[in-house]
This record gives sequence, C-alpha cells and structure tokens, in this order.
Amino acid sequence: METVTLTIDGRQVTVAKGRTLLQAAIEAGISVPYYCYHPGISIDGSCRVCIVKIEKMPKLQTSCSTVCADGMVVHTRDAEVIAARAGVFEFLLVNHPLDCPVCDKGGECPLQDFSYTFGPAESRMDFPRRVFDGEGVKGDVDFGPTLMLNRQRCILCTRCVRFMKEVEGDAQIGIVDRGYGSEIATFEERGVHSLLSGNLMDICPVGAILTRDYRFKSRPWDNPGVVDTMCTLCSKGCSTSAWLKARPEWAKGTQLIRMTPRFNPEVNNYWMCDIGRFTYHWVEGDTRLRRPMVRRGSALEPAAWHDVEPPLRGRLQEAGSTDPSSVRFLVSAHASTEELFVLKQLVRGLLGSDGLSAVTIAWTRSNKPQSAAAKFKVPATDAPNVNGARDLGYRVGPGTDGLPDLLPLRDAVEAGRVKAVYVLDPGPDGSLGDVSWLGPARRSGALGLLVVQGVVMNELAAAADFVLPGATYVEKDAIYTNDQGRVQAASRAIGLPGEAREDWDILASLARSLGLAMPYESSHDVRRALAASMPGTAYAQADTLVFTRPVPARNWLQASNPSERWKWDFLYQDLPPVKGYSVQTEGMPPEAVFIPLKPVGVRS
Amino acid sequence: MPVLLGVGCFGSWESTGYHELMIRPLLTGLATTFRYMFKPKVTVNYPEQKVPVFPKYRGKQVLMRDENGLEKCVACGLCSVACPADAIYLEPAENDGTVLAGPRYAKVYQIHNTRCIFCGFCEEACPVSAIFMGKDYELAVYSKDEFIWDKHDLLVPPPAGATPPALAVS
Repeated sequence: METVTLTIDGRQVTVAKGRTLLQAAIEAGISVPYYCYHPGISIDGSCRVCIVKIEKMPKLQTSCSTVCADGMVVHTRDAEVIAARAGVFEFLLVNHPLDCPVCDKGGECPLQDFSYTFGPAESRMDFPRRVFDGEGVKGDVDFGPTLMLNRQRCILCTRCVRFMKEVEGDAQIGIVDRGYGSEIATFEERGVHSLLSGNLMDICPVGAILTRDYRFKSRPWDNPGVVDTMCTLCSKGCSTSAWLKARPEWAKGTQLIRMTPRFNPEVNNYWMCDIGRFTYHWVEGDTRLRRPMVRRGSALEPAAWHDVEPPLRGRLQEAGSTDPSSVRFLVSAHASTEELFVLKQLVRGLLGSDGLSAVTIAWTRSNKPQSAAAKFKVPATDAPNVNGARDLGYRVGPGTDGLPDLLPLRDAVEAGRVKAVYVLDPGPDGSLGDVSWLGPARRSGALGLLVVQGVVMNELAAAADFVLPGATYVEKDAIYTNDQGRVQAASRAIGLPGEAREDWDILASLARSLGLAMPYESSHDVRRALAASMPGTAYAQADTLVFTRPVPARNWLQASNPSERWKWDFLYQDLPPVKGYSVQTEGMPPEAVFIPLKPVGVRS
Repeated sequence: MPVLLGVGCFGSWESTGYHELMIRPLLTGLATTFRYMFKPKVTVNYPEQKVPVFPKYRGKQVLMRDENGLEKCVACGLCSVACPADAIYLEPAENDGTVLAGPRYAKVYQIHNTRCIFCGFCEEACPVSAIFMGKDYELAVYSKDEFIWDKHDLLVPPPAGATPPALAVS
C-alpha cells in the first residue's frame, strides 16, 4: 500500500495515499469537527466547519476535501483556525431554532456537541430566526410514510441528498431555491418513499430528519444500554444495535426502543433497511406467548412446564409408536443454528440416519421494491438461516433463491399419513408462509397432534394441542448463517417474557424426556458441540463468536447516534464537550483561548 | 436508724413551713399564665389555621399552565435527568393541539412522593418554566399507591376565563 506522511499539529501521520486530511486526522485521533462528511457517502465540502490551516496555502482549507500529500504541514488548533471555525459555528446557529428540549436528536446531536466544543459562547444575531411556515411552505412536515422533516433545524449539509443519490439510487431529495431560501424538499412534497429511508435519520447531523417510529419516544440519556447484535428479518443479516430504554427502578421495566445499523464493511456497511429497523414491536407486543399452554377440550389453557412435558412426551410417543416417520417437523428458517443442531440430533435419535427427511424447513420470500441503482440491496428471502439449515444437512434446495416446498407435507397431512406435526417458529407471525391448511387439518381430525413451539399467538398456535413459548432473536444468544455464508452472532438484548424458554433448551429437554442424551447446559455448549462436529467449515469457530451484553455508557455521550458512534469511540474517547473546556485549547494560555466577539455595527 | 432518719426529715420540712413552699411557686406560675393570656398569641390552630410559608419554601411540585389554560410542559425530560433522587418519570407523546401549544406533551408525568427530596433541581432544569416547587407540605397519604403523584395531582387548575384554543373550536 502506498502511503504518504504529513504533519498534523506537530505529529507525524502516515496514511494511505488518497486519504483526505479529515480522514487522516480521524485515524490519528486528532479532533476536527464535521457535518457534511460521512464515510459512507461522497465528499461535498459544504458545511465548512472542518477548516484547517495548511502551510504554504494562502487560505484555510476544508480538510474533508483536501487530499493528503507528502510533507504537508497542517494546523488544526491554530488561533486563526479556532476563530474562523467559531465564525462558521455562529453562522450555523443563526437560523437553527434551538428547540433542543423537544427535538429527539437533543443529547445525541453533533450540532450541539460541536457547537459547545468549537463554537462561540453567544450569538450576535438580533433578528428573528428564519422560519419556513410561509405561503404554501411548512417547516415541520411529513416526509413520506416513515419520516418527519423539520426545515427550521436543517443546516443544509446535503448528507441526505447524497445518500439518496448514491446509496439508495433514487434521488428523491433535492435542494430547492437558493441562497438564504434554500430548503430540503421532495418533488411536490411527496416525501421519501424508500426501503432505506430510516438511514436518513442516522446520517442527519441535526434533528431535521427524524423517524416517526422513534418520534418523542425516548431521550438519548434514557437509553443507557446498547447491545451489538444482528438483524434476522432477512437473509442479509445486517449488524445492528438494539437500544434499550431504562426507567427509574420504581417504574420498572426495560424496553426495546429502536434498532440502528452498526458498521460492518462486509455485510451492510453503515446502513440497514426499514424492515429491520421498524419491525421489532412484535417482540414485546400483546400477542407474545408467555406461558406454555395445553388444549383441554376446545380451549387452550395455560399450564406449567412440568405439567406440559409428560403429556407431550406421551402423545409424541403414541403418535410415533407404529411408524416413527409419521411424526413430522415443520421448522421456520428463523430457527438459529443451535436449534437446528439440537433438532437434528433429536430426529436422528428418534428416526435413525434418515431422520432429517421428517423435517420441512419453511421460509417466505417477498419482493422488495428498490431502484436498480441501489447500492444496498435487500434480499428477497425473509429468513436469516436458510444457509445454516443447508449446512447442517436439511433439505432446503440449492441456493437461497428458491421457495420452500411445503406441498409434500401438506399432501401427507391431508391424506392422513401424518399423525403428528411439531412446528418450530421463533420468527414473527407469518414467517412459515402459507400454513393455513394445518389448523383445519388438525380440527378435522386428519392430523392427530399439533405442537407449536413459537413466539406469537396466531391462527396456527390457536389450533395446536400444545403451545410452547420460545425466544425471539433479541432474547437469546444464537448464530445464523447469512446469504454470503457468514456465520454471525446475534446477542441477547432483553430477557425472556414470562415463562418462555430458549428454543434449543425446549428441544433438548424434549429429547431428554424421550430418552436421548443431550449433554448441554447452555447455548454455548451447543455451539461447542456444533464446532466440534463440523471441523474445517465456517462453523469450526462457532464457539468462539463473541456475544455482547448491554454496555452502559461511561457517559451518556457515548451512546450516541451510531453513524457518529464510531466517532465517539475512536475520535473523542475522553472528550466531553463541556462548555468552558476544549481539547482544542488544551495547554494554551487563557487569553489565547478567549474568542472575542466583534461588536455589531461598530466600525473602527 | 431508718425510722429516726425519716422522722428527722419530716420534722425539718414542717419546721420551715411546708405549706408555704407549695403555694408560692404555684401562684408564681399562675401569674405567668395570666400574664401571657393578655399577650398576643404565637401559636395557630394548625389544621384550621396555617402559618404562611417562606417565599422560597419548596413543597410539592406544581405543573403550570399558560394563559390559555394549556399545559406548559414539553416533556423534554430534563427534570427527570436532573433529579438526584430519580423520582421523576415521564413519557412524551405527540400532541394534537388540545393539550399544549407545541407538538410534544407529557402523556405520563409522575413524581414519586417518597423519593423526592425537594431540592428544586427540576424547577431549575425546566427550560419552559413548567414545573415549580409549590407550597403544599401536607403530603401524608393513606395508601402507598398514592405516593406517586401523576399529572392529575400536579397540574394547577386552568385560570378563570381561559379558553384553550382547540377546546374553544370544539
């Protein structure tokens, strides 16, 4: 790799050729503020706050758009730079409404943070602020089905414009009018209609674009716990962060409050789609299964686990007594690899080496409307672990691009050749595809026993004889194999609701009650056995994957906007942007730190 | 010996005028009582009468309303984060114009009576002057469920003659 060496603030910095000064400063841990620069999109140079002094250049330069050259000498803490930068910040706040108490960005807002750190102490603006509530123009408007736009707060960094053009591929956002009247707008105020619209909230450095889902729901300092996990709603497997809202201990309860993308250059870069971002309410919804249930007569009645397991074992043994292969398993590809591994041992133990033929893996596919130029593609397969099932030997057909074939199972059930169906579905409602024939088959008596191990109460669970509450993807440590074949870890973010248990645990205790050896006490034991049984594959390191726990932020600024969070992690590790203190001025005499405001209207 | 000692004691009191010793202090005390009967009273009949509190007294909080009778609290949560006793819990929600002038209001606003230390930090933190430390100090309740004050307990009554804009339309 070709490198260049330059001097920033007296420090020798060596970076790859082609990097800009701002990137070099970030890599070296030198703090330079920025708004329009975002590592995931192109360079614009419109916000002007990253200006630095470069020796032998006549004027201050924007560091985000200046490419490093050998022997450059750059100053970021020069008195001239500090004063000019403070001037830019004063301009940025001339029209910003400062309604931080009601703005959802307040507390994780780069405009707040950088203005406190680098901006002047006060504004000289005496005139009323610009508001867009004029003829036919509104300041605070709907911005499509998922977003809200507040034009008053916008600082015109054009990150959203560039994101839509470059990553989304459909340039729906533009800047209309010019100069002082410039505003962010969509054609005929139609708003943003995109599967990637939620990312606009992440990249917006102020509170101008916010999602409706998170609107007024929480303040950043109320979300102290962030769990690094992954999304399992499609086969892409984006790295995500699950944010947990805490309450005072007398108002008990922790709540899953939002999902945001986490930087992963090999899978999702800085982005995630709206499906993964907004489809988490079902996890803590009213339809969640919290207790095991047994059918008594026509009604399902809650029961304790120890009252459910003996009759369940008896019914399964009875169904499989004449022909073990008349017990079938219908498994959603939302099941994690641990669960599929335990299930494989279960069916092999019961049915012999041909046991996997009793298992039907189901998933759904849906067409995700995206522009052809989109760089971030959402795959059609709505399940995270089709590849994991294939790797374990289940029959799922070649590639993830096919649809599951439930017809053989359906024909066998409706012809009365199947005595029992055991359904395992830890995914959201509908993740098995069309199984509306299964409930009527049980009711008509064609099927003798229906066991549903799931997470939500739906039509299928309502028709079951036994309902066993399992765990969703944010409630267990589990591994999934995405469409690239990467084995990824999803960490437990919240606790299990009610008496629900992790799915591998339910399967293992069922296997034990049927007389099989299941020497597992935790999901880690399962991963260890899985790794030992598949040497030389991607699963050989399955037991070394790292699962994270909610890490309370050392200060609330660390739990910041994730697209900026790496900035706090790498750039501002020990910089609380507190008024009166600035790393910019560390070690400087107080008189050099003081930035006097020029009086307005006084000419010297 | 004990008998002799006892006789000696009584004998000595009788000889110095025992009756006189009892009556004089009694009269002195009654004189003080009568003297105070004609002086102004310093005590009040507490439950019926109350002493005016000091102007900066910090009692139970009140949530203010604006001149139209709408709530002032914008549910920013700064009182909650400023509270050293973690006594304030609130849930913001989208306003439809009937609760307050802005877009955001507090759907739930709770202060825990027994956690609050009446420091007044919530009043200091409030950016819209919505919460003030009130003058109410009679905070005993009959049930522990009543320890949590919600909006119903904290909001001041709307000013007389106020017509909230949205309510006036309907």
